[in-house]
Amino acid sequence: MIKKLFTLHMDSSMFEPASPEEKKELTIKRRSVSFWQDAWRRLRKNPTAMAGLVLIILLLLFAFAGPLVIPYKYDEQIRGFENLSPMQTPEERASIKEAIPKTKNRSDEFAYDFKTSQNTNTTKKAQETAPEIKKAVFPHMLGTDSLGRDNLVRIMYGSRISLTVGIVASIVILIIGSIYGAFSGFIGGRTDNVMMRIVELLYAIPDILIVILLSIILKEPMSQLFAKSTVMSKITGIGPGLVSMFITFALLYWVGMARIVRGQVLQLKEQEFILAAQALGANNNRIIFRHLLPNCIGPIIVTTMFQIPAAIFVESFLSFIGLGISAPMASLGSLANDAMSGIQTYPYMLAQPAIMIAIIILAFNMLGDGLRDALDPRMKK
Amino acid sequence: MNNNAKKLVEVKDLRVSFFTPAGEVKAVRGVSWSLEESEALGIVGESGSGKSVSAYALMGILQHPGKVIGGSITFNDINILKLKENQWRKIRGKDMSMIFQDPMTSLNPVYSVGNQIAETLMAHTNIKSKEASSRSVSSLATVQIPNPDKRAKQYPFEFSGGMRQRAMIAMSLCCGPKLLIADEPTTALDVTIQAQIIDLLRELKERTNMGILLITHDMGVITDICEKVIIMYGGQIMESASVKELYKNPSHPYTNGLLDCLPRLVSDKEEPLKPIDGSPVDLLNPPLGCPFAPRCDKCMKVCLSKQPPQFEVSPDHYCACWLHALDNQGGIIND
Amino acid sequence: MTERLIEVKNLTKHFLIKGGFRSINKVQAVDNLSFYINRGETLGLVGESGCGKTTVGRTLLRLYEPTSGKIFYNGKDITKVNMKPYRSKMQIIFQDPYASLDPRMTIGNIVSEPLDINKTYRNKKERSDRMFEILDMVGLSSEHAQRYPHEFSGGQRQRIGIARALAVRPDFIVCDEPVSALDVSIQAQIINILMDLQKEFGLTYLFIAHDLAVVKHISNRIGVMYLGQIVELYTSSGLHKNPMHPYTQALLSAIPVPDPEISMKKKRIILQGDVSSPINPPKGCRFHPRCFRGQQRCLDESPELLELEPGHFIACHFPG
Repeated sequence: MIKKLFTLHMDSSMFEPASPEEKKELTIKRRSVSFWQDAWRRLRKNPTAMAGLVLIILLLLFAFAGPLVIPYKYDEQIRGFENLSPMQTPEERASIKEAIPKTKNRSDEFAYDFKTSQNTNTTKKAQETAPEIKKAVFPHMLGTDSLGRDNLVRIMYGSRISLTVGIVASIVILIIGSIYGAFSGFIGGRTDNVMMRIVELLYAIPDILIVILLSIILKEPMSQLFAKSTVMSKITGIGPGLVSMFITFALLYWVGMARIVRGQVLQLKEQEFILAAQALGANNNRIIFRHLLPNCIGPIIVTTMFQIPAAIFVESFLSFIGLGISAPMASLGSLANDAMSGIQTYPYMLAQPAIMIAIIILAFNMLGDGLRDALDPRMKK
Repeated sequence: MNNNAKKLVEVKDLRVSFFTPAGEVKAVRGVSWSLEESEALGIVGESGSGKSVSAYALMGILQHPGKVIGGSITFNDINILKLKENQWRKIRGKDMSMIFQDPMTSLNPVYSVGNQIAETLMAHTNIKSKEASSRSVSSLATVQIPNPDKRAKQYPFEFSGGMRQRAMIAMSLCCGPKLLIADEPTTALDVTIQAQIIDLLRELKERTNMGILLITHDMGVITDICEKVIIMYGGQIMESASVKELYKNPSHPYTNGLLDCLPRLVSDKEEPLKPIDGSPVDLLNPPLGCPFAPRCDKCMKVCLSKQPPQFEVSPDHYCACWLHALDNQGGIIND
Repeated sequence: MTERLIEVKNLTKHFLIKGGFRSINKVQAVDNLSFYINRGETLGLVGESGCGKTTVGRTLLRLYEPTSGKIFYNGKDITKVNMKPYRSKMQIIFQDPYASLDPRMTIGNIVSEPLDINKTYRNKKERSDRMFEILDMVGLSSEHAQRYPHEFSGGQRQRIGIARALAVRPDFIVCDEPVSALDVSIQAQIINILMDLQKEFGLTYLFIAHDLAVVKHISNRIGVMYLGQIVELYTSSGLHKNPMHPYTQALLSAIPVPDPEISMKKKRIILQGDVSSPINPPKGCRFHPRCFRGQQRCLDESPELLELEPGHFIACHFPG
């Protein structure tokens, strides 16, 4: 240890008292980082989550902006183009068929002028260049179905329906579940007991049965309702199937969210800031909506992110068994259903919607996992 | 201070930093001290002073993202910073042991207390489990736990806070360590229990040859057990001296601030307390000069730009403050 | 306007917790407590963990409902009334600066929340004016209003808690261990703020702490609690000079004094054993298992809180 100052030749002016301003300069303020900024930073570092996010963005573009690129309508039936495999044209199929004797070949009866497109790349946003004069044919990149409808467009609309139903259903679940769970957890006591027993009851009810029952019950009133506006029902595909599915979601599927939010609230309500709010005279509503729920946003978001693929899967399954969407609108599940009849001959018809469902579910799961880590309150003092 | 006594621990210019996502938190910035056998050294500091971190570095239990980035620590003539983990384990628990602030979380709740002590014994010595059990009962008796044979079979949740801390002390002492590090051992305890524990530690020190490193923020606790004391702030040592000398002649403005701002039972005055202005140091961007300078009412220009060296105020009493570069008239001492 | 702003008579608070299978344990946190606080004074309440002092503070504000007994505010019995009109008069500051502020609200909103609840402003400008005024009172600046609690240090957060309590201009504040979780150098800042505010606004405090030195500095009178009961109550200086209950004497001697000269000369009373559990408090005098003066009478008979000197209340069979 240095005992004397022999080597430091100090200027005596340095030993004058420092002014308060000079002292203040040293207290550098650290840049404030909000909760969301910190979460975003952590999310960015997670490659899987980022991949999931990009995939979801691409999916949304595919489902909502994709049909703008493809010149076919989802319900446009083009005669003579039935059951084409991906990238096939009717002549190619005809030439294959000529090699094999066939009893019936309707495509031979019609003659078309067409000009095949030159580019054969398989990206979804392929541009085509066709002259105006003759009827140009955009390649059916995923083939067509038994009624000559382009598969790609139908997959796009199907994804649109699936995503919309999934997201809307999840939002409904979020609202009902989190409010129910927050009230139950906060009020506690006997009310909480009763509310949780109701939740357990709802868990036990088989959802498929309820959907079936509801769709049967609602068929009559729904068709009367939609008789007045067939256009709307045709466009959105809302029919008794979809409505009963939404009702089932609202009735049954929020219980998972309720449990999670209740768990969070049970922890939070012991914290002193809740007691402080009570001491200030806040009523229960204020405490729940201003204090408890905002502090549950992390788990709520994560649960919702996992709820979306679950809802999509349920919707697909219900449409698959014929209970969901109404024709001619398609959802991925109903496309899969349609494909079942020709599964031996046209396996790609089933593979396409199935793969699509898988990609959607995977993407949301990847993002959900990343969000759970990013929103984890590890950032303590 | 007996200069012939063997130096049990010697820390030279220790530097520890935590490499966090927000940047490098310089927790310990050049700290040197030493401890002899059967001597008790107290390290006093507030939160963020680096006192606990230096103890963790000494025990080798610094958690990621903390790293020792400079300096050396010698224990019993061994350079312990260069040890491998399995060599560390032989020393930890046997020659050097530690008791923590919160006895609740330091004891494993699923094993009985006697079991945990016996486990430590068997890990470090060659005794069989039967003898380890009886030794664990006797170690509980050493720390004045009544009915030790019954208590040894109980679980930590059946113990009160004070008893758990005693059990921790028993566990640390069972292998007869040369050094006991106590990290805020009484902070979480009631004041009457605190008095019991301090009494116990003092008695143990007198009976064995053990060195004690006591880390705390409470100056009063130091008085009862320690001979030497170090005051830390902002990762550096502000003042070091014997306990008697420090109270008789506190030389650093921070030490004076700490002593002044405590409400005293003895004072009858109606005056307001004299707090220390400002807030603790930001260790991400510590000041270039003396870490206490922004809060010091005697701050000079030099304090803001250059770190003061340790000036010798009197034999074995060192103070890191530029005020001691001035002689009585305020002129600079140049040698 | 009565002299006694707060009065408590025979206040009892028991908590029922589930013991083992089908058994219910009764935690007798506060038992038959009686005291009063004069307008403008600070009553300190000291005791160790488990003595019930925090419960007293919260029950006073009806954050916990009393099991029995009466609470009076300004002469009115508020034991069973709707507390909404009284909330703005009686406030509380909590111990843990990290848990007592909502991490999702900005400081401005935290401090203005009492204004929102009690609708004490007419327009936005009034609200923000009042908010800045309150922040200024505790030494925080307006630029802090947009920040979140996690950006502040413990001492600053405690100031925010004080600002929140002051927002609606209360008469009475329960300070529940407001400095226990803070560094020593910051404790003094907060205590000074509390005392300055008391002088400026004529506040009445119930100051709860376990550090007798801190309590002595800020309080006019001090009540010492043990296992749910008050064992001694006297003026601060009187208690220090002339403690008569053995527990008070042990408490005073146990406080570490940072001065070796005084420390060596101090008479040490080291209590044996640990604080008993409030679930099954000892029969008779609750302190008797640890008391160094205990005799047979202490086992049989629970001592009453009697005024042995003017203003000096002691619950002991053998005081002195």
